[in-house]
Amino acid sequence: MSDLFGGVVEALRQASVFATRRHELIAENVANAETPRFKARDLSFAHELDLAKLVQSAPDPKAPLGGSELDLRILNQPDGPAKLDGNDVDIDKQMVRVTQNALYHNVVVQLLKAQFDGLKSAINGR
Amino acid sequence: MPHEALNISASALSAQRTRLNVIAENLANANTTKTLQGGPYRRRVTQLESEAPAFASLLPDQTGLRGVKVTGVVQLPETRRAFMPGHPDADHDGYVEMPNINPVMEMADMMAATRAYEANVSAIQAMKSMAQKALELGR
Repeated sequence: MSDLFGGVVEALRQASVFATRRHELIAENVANAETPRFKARDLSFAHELDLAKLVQSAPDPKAPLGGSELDLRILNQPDGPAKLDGNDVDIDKQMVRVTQNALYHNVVVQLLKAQFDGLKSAINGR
Repeated sequence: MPHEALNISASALSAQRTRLNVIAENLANANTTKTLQGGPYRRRVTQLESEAPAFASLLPDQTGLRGVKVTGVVQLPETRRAFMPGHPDADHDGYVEMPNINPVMEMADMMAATRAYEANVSAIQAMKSMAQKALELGR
């Protein structure tokens, strides 16, 4: 990993992969909102906590922020008690998550764009 | 990959559309007393099931995402007897075998299917905007 695209850019790349993967799982929940016995699932970013610790303890700017590998975990995330048909998806909560996740992704992409814009102006010298 | 999320939402759109078709059939035939199979029309119900993940998605690095599919349209056996002595299909006692369809229930089911359809359309739109935002990075 080169320094140019290590660090922040790498962490943001991982975050955008996370958002895309999470959207897939939420789309699955929405698609199966009325499927009997379906259990809602969500994606968790196991690195989130490690990342926060890393930033606090080691302010070394060269240390890669997100680590090398994405550690995404799928977990059962019931929206509440299961309905009579054994389905535990709450469509309203899922729609909120769709919006939240899309906004989160926008933020990440926006930050990436800022990083690249910075590089670009450094290259162009203006 | 974005197309995976789109496929999942698309499978739900198609399933909900089938459900709406079946509801429309029930409503249209709420008073049908004669069918090809004989007897009155019988209420139909759509069965939904999670799709088994495709082979590729069983690999460890994949998430095994499941769309939804219609496994069958089940015909319920119940009918309802209505007293209509003037009806051409009435029996000796003046009763007619009618479909056991409650239009109010069908309308409620139709609204549920419409909302589910809309929810999936929103999920597709969110995915689309995410992909478009990511594409803007190249500009």
